[in-house]
Amino acid sequence: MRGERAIVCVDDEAIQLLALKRELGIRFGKRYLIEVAADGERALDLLEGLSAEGIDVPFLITDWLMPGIRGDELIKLARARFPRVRAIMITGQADEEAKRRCVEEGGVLGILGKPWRRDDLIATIESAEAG
Amino acid sequence: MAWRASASSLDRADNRLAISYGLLVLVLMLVVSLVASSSFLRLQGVEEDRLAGAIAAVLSDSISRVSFSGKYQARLLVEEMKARVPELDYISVEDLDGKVVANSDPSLDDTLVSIDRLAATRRALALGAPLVVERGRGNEVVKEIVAPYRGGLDSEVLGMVRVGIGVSDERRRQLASLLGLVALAAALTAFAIGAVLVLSRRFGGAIRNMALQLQGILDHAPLAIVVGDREGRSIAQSSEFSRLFGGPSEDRSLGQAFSSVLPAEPIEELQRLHDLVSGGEKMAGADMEVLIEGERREWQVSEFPVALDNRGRVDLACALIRDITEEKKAQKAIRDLNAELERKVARRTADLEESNSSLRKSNEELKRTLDALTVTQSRLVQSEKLAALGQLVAGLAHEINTPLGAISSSNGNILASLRGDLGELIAVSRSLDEAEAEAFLRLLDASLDRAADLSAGEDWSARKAAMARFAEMGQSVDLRTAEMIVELGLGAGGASLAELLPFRDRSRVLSAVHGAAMLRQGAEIVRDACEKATYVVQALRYYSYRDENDEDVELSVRKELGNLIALYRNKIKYGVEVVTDYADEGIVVGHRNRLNQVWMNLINNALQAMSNKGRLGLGIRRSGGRILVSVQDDGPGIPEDIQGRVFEPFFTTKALGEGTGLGLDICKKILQAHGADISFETGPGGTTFLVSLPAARPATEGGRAG
Repeated sequence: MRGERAIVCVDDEAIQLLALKRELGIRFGKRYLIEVAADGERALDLLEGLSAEGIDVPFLITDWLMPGIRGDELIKLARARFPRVRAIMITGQADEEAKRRCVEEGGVLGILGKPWRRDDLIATIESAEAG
Repeated sequence: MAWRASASSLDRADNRLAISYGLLVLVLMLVVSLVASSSFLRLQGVEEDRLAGAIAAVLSDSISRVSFSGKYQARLLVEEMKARVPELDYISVEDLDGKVVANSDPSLDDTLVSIDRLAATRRALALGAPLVVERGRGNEVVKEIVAPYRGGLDSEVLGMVRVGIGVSDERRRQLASLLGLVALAAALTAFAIGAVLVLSRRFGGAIRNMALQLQGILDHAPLAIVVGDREGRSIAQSSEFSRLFGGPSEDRSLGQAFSSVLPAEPIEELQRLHDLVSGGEKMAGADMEVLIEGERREWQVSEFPVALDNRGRVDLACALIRDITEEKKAQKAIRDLNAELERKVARRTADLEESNSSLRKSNEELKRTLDALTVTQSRLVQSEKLAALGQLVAGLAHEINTPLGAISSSNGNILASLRGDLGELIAVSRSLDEAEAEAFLRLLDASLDRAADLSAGEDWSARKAAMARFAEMGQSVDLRTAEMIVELGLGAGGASLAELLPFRDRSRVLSAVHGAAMLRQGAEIVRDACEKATYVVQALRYYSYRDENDEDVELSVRKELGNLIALYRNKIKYGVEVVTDYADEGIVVGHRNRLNQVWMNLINNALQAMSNKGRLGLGIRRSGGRILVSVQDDGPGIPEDIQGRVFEPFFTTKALGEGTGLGLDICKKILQAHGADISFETGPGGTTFLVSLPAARPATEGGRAG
């Protein structure tokens, strides 16, 4: 499995998570594993698990409002542990302050609203890959 | 006399009275004694004269018989008589010319008597009867009897016999007895004085006391009192009167005393005192103003009769002068104070009236304001509802946006993969032999069913477990294959790859079936998301009602709470555990919209109280004819100092813009309109709001458990 790369998606809404996983899978399934977690804790566990398997996770796509660890915190924690992780936040409801803080903390490629445009998400990831 | 004395002077007056009385008695005694003595003496004298006359008559007769023819015979007779009657002081015989014929004192023989004695002799001769005269002879008093003696043939008067009888001893005796009498009178007088004093002391006590009391009154009364008699003289006066008008004086009438002090007009007034005495009026009085030692004083003067004589005329009258300056001053002060008070009261009354009218005005204004407020209140009720709704909007955006995002994404997935997946599916199905085709249809069927289950696609560990199991069976499965196997629900169980996928080209069949399942999954996601969105929109619909829907309906509190919780789902799902205890369906009759506003408010408050983390308890139970709805939080409780204010309008603990503070006030009003009431219990472990509503039906079928 070494050499594999994965995109980790985090959302507490199952339909959201399934839709996102499929959306990414259609586009990036050949190049990335699409892994999902229902909350921040599990996402961190997942990151640890993938890392242990030698799987690189360049992208973390997360919701903002979730039980337990919120999206912005998750990004911070994930990046503290895995600095290479870059994040995209997809949120239906994030206050401007949290958004600003996220961007300032660095490592955030973009913040997308719900419902997001498919092309925006793909473009964000692809431009990051290219960059 | 004046009662200007103390007790000792009263004693002196007593003594003086006794002495005067004694002297009077003494004088009377003396007069009586003297008169008695003099009449006694006179009677004595008459008696003496009578005796002397008898003696003279006897004597002259004797002499006549003897016939004084010769000096010797006369002288013998004289000597003989003198010897025989020694009481005779002297005896003298004289002729008509006054020549002493014979005398008991022989040295006087042949002398001439003095002219005055001769005159007396002649008077005796003229009378023809003996004459008795009294004359002093040296120190002796002598009664002298002059008697003519006759002789001759014609018994003519030849001369005179003069006989002196000494009365001095007798007189001395008389004087002695008189002096004794006087002494007796004096003694009696002294006794009488003593008796009078004793009696006056003994029986005059009451009068004395009265006098002393009167004197005390007069001495100490702060009043000018004077008792005047008909002559306008002071009979008695008080010390205050004396101070003002001078002491009692015999030489000064009351009028003079008054005029020494009083101005003309008051004198006229005081003249009434006199008028009173003479005129006999009953009582008079006047107030006047006087100047005493340069100070203006006010006097109240009254006059009244004290004693009447036996004809009913006023004998003594009393004038009483009271200094009423201070009293008047005090009265004036009181009057002034009263007037001031009245002015103040009037002023205060005016003030009060003014403030009253301004109160009335502001009252009317308040009434108008209240009317306006009533209008405003109904708007505020609406606005409170909108505020609560506003609280929801952000959450609702998420609530709608999340399914919308899922719909949009899944729809995009379907569109993106539909053609390829369907094409591949048809191509794969064509490539299968008969046995494979059957397994393929079974696999497709099961996978499509499995795809309808939208529970989380989190399968990293499941995938790893499946890979490990296949590895044990000596079958190598890559990650993507493993992923598809797990996603299609084929990973569980101990089946080998050949059993699971009995196809020549397993990988292609698996991918084709997976693609089809994903189409199904996408469609399911869209359906599920649509349901969720619909649910939210439906729940929200209650709150888009305006109040025109005013009917009371029969409703289930349980359903309404369920709807509300759906609305709050987004808010409460992270960290809030909703614990329901529905022992009753909670069927009540009411205004759905308004009651929902109450529940929404209570739930909102509870969530805020526990900062959206903790346990939200919702309960419905029945107690008699009431439905009890409880909304419980496990927040820190309502602070004691604001517990009494939570139902006050505009009372809020929320930040500006988060609430109008009308929430609970409006709840209360809404509930009152439903015949319901609201109360709360609070403590450090949380707060429970309890709403008691009248049940719509007398009994239920027992209520279902929540």
